[in-house]
Amino acid sequence: MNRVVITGVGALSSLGVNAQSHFDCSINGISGVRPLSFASGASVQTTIAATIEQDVPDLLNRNVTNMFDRVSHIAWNAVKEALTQANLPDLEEKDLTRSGIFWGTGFGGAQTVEKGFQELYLKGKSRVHPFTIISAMPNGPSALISLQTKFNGPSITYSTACASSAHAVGEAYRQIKYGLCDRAIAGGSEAMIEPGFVVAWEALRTLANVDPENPSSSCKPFSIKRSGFVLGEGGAALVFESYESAKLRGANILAEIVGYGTSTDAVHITKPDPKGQSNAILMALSDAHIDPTEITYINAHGTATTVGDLAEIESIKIAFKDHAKKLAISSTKAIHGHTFGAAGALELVITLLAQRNGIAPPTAFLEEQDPACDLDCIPIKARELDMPYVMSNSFAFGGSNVSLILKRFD
Amino acid sequence: MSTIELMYQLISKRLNRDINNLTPDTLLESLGIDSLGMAELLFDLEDHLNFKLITPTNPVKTIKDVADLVDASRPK
Repeated sequence: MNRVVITGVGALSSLGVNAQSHFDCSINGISGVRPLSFASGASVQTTIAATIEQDVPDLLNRNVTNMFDRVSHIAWNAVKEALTQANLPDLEEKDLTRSGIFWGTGFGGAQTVEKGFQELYLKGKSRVHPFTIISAMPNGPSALISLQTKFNGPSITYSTACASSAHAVGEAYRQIKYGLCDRAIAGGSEAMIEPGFVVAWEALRTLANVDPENPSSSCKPFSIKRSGFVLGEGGAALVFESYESAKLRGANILAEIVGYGTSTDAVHITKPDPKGQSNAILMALSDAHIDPTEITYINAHGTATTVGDLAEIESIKIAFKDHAKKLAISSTKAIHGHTFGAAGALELVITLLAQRNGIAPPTAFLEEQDPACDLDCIPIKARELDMPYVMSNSFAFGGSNVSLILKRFD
Repeated sequence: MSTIELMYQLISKRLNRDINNLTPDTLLESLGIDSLGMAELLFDLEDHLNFKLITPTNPVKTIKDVADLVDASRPK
């Protein structure tokens, strides 16, 4: 079996258009949640979201740019940053066939779907753009990444709601670990802040009430004042390699991925199950061959829903037992919102940078912690912390759970 | 304006090409228009012309082929 290391990361979201800005905002509790409005005049009640403030750079030529949805453009921006940092050498054909793409997205080309419906139902047209299908299909991002990189090993898209990109990362790790690939691009992207999708989320009653004093602080994980999450958009990418190949080419290794656990609740379509979640955590610990006490920081799924927060705290207690009280835990969703299919990868990138810098990000806006969330949820202020092993959790609608463990590379 | 002249105008604008370099026999492929590009071109033409183009029965390879398709599709 191969050791698997990370040699490049990239990210863009409401926190900025590079990975570093995500770490900077995370440790300083700077929120990317901002006012939301739609030009279409649709009757949307939601007034805030964690949207990407800048225009997403169009890195494609004119002939192909319309073939790809916003979710794919976001993906390629994140991947390009990660590849620049990884500084992979020119790869020969035999290397490219051993190079895989593993991508996660919950809703794929949501903007394209929405635009098609608007053409039909709002504008009364009888047809939609001929690129609608290829732009909307969920594997658009991975297709674009393959076309740009010429990686022609496996290219697989994972759609497991909030755990999509966490699954993508875990499966990429396994492919290299078990010798099926030598390198991989893994991550996820999501761009679903469109009227129809936002209204659908409203109907599910999981979105946060707007904090009237400070709307950007409306998402409050683990707080007695929490009321749900804020929708976010974004993407994150990681470049994985076998340790041997990274070492051979003298790559700058950022971290080693050592644990991946995935389980399913098989209990309820939305209600999380602490037992199912703790199973994923325990599987990741077992995969990493470490004692639970070696984990010092967890980037929680932490959606700021009452049912989600309590289930996650319980799952950590089940898995870590007495050590749970000693863990430093935070949810960065407070500031970048719930980026859904991108969340697992985005939060793993933040976790990796936290580990490398020895600073654990806080749970922003956690002024009054829910007594039922009686673990150390790092309220408000970042903390210097020795983090030899860190964990990132993603627990999804549909009962899909993923836990990932990084080992610091010294 | 003849149909072929209209095609020159639309294609040169759309692809940012010098209109003087376009001829009836210019291959669409040489302009970077593949099968997907053709679908998009016909879609945009329908928008511009405000009538539906028929499904071509013969391969559409040149600018003249597109003009012929447009003429064959014009409402009687």
